[in-house]
Amino acid sequence: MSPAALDRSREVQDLRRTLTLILAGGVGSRLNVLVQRRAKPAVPFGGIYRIIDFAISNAMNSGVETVGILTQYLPYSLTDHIGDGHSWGLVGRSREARILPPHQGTQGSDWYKGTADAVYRNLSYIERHSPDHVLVLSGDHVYAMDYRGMVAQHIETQADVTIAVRSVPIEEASSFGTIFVDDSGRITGFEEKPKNPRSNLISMGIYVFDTRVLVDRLLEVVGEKKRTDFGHDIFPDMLTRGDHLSTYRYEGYWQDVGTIRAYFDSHMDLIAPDPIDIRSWSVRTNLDEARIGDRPAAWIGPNGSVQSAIIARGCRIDGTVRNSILSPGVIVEEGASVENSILLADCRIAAGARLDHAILDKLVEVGPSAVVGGCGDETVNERFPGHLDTGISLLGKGARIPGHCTIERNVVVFPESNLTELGVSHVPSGDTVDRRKRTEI
Amino acid sequence: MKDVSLEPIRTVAMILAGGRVGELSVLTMERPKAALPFAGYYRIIDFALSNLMLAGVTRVGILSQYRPASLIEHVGTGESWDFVGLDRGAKILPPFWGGDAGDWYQGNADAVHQNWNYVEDYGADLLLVVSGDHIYSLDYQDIIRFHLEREADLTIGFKKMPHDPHFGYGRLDETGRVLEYGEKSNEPVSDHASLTIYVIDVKALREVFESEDGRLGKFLEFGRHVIPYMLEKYRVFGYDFDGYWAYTRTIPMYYQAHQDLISGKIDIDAWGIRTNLQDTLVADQPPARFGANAVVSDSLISTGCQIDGEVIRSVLSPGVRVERGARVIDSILCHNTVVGAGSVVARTISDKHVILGADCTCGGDAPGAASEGQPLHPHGWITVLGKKCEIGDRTVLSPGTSIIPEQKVPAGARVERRS
Repeated sequence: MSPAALDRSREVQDLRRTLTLILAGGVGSRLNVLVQRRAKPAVPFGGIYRIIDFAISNAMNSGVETVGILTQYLPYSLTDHIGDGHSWGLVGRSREARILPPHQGTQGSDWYKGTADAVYRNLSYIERHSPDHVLVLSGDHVYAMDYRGMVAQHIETQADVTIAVRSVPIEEASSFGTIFVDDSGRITGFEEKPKNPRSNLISMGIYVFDTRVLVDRLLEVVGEKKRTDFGHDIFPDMLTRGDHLSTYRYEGYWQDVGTIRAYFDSHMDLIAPDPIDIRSWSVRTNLDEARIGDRPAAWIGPNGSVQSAIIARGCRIDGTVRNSILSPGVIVEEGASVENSILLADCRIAAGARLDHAILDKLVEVGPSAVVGGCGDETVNERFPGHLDTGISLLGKGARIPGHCTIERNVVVFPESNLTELGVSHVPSGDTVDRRKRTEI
Repeated sequence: MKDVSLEPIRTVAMILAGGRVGELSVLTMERPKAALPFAGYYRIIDFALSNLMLAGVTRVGILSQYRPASLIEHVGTGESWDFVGLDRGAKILPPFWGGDAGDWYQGNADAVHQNWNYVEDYGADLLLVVSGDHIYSLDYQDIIRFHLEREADLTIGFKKMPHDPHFGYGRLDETGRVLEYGEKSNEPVSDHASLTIYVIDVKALREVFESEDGRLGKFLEFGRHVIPYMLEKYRVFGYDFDGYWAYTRTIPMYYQAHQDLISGKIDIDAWGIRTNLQDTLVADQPPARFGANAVVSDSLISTGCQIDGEVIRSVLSPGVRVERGARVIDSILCHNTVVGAGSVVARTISDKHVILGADCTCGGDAPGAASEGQPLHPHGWITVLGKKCEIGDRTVLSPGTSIIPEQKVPAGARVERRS
């Protein structure tokens, strides 16, 4: 057998002895109404996916056989989505994908208090599988990474933990955990979300632990010291005690789509002139869900015009679509125009309506000749100034926009708001429409 | 009429999916016509399977003897059509060997006869026989109810159609009773063409198969043998179907059905047609991506397509790539077909995994555009590219050409249609 083939066969074995835990408990509140009824990892992405599909598919493509998904915030959409795991081939005698919600037990029951606490509360799951290594992932990121290289390096360097890192522009580093390393890549220090970052190397939230080390540190730091977070508590503690913390460099595409701006920008990366090629990533999703798999091919009508766009199954387009991503079942009628927008499943854009820089959650209906986004001044959203400040307007699930209504920039419309019933025909930039009360017109 | 509302009825269905028809050219060299790809994601048999699912007929046998591998793969466990569970099931019933019954199927009635155990073991009251290569939407409970109300022994689905020697025609009285039936004749007895949809009382058919003629093996075809025999001794009725119905026996018919799909006469979504979701050619594909120079109209575009050229009045299956400057007009491109930059493809059907190089000219209108009213040539001047064939750059394939599966046509070649 050639050395390369031997290496590959060893890697396959290594990954089979690696248990993967995906931290999917994130609320992702900066995604605003997109996470009002679903956890961040369950937020739709790229037409047919959910954000967590990237982590699960990476695990699948790396040859991982056992995946536990730690969830506690609005878990229904995730539970449905993961199903029995067959969409990722994670079904069989030795393969599984399992949702691990918080549970009550002898050691006192409680919600997961942090990333390390969530893993600590599932120590019995780890012990049951008795893996050599535990791979901890975040369900919040869009990327394609082969974990085999990382696990192989972890074994080779005999580290206690290996953390995947990447470099970012120094001005962006303040929103991440920054890391200091020596020439060999060994970690010498951490700074969590520093105001004035001194390192541009950030943690991607991907860790490979030796199982024994992980269990021991969790028992001590979480179990005894009641500290709960990997970045804040576990790693600094390990560093202090002289554990070997190593880094694995990854410079491929990776996006934390935790803000409306990042969510929008990474969608635009899919349709840029030199787009990121999701096809080559082999991402899978659950096609049984939302009847994705039962929908026919997209129909482009005699008046349809579609450029620089992602169009999912079941769409019916007789209008114009540019620079946009359309999820399954979106209808764009004749004379309607959709530009620079993201439309989730089953939205309907009536004849003559215009959308620009808009994100529409599922089942939004936009009436004839209505205008959403791309007009008005640049006022940031008054109620959520940190969420909507780049000109994008966000319409919640099932919102109804009457014909000839105008919605300007940086607007939030809450889920199920019926602007026809509310008598709203104009929403100025920066305003928020909450169905419970009528906003100023 | 009999009140049938409370009758407990057990119905077993048999799908006739055996046939390969030479007129479908290179498309059926490796699969039965029921397994032909259709409408991007589907195979023709999905219409029969989905109609059965929607009618709640959940015990289904599929009679197939011609290269059934793709059908076996496609039907799988039947879970895509909800055929999994106690009392449910979709089984491919291939010919078998051994005992008195087994042999190659000599005809559709013979195929049912050889698999009579499948009907009896289920304890069925009714046998519903349908064809696996027809495109229509019909709630079979309507025809079953019609059958029961008339206390019929056999009910045949008919549709009024212009004369075509490939069909059987029946003459009905005002109650729907079939008075006369002629199969594939040049002088039809009426304009009621048989759709090869039969509801048959199991007891009656058992009698037929156990009769002297049955034991002599005379009942090979329903149309030629069983129906004429039953007309004399049994209550045979005709059910009038007036919805859309298409048949894909020839290349022009297959082509026309896709045009009907684009124009909305076939509405896959409204009809509730389902297909196998596990097909990896589909499951691994991202949604379609349209490039900055894409021009697409009057077309159906599936998952995984990448369009950087022009697509007009065409149907693209998953994973088709139309490169920059390429034009696809009035065509049907199956899974993973690649149309190279600058190529022009017109009135062409490409099977799966066809690779067409750059700057090719493939198909187009017939020379002198076949005059109106003339019978269509079996290929209707449609160009057909067999599965996995590879066409080199700058090749010219004239209208009506057929390329056999896996053939490699060298760059710069000129292929004329054989007349």
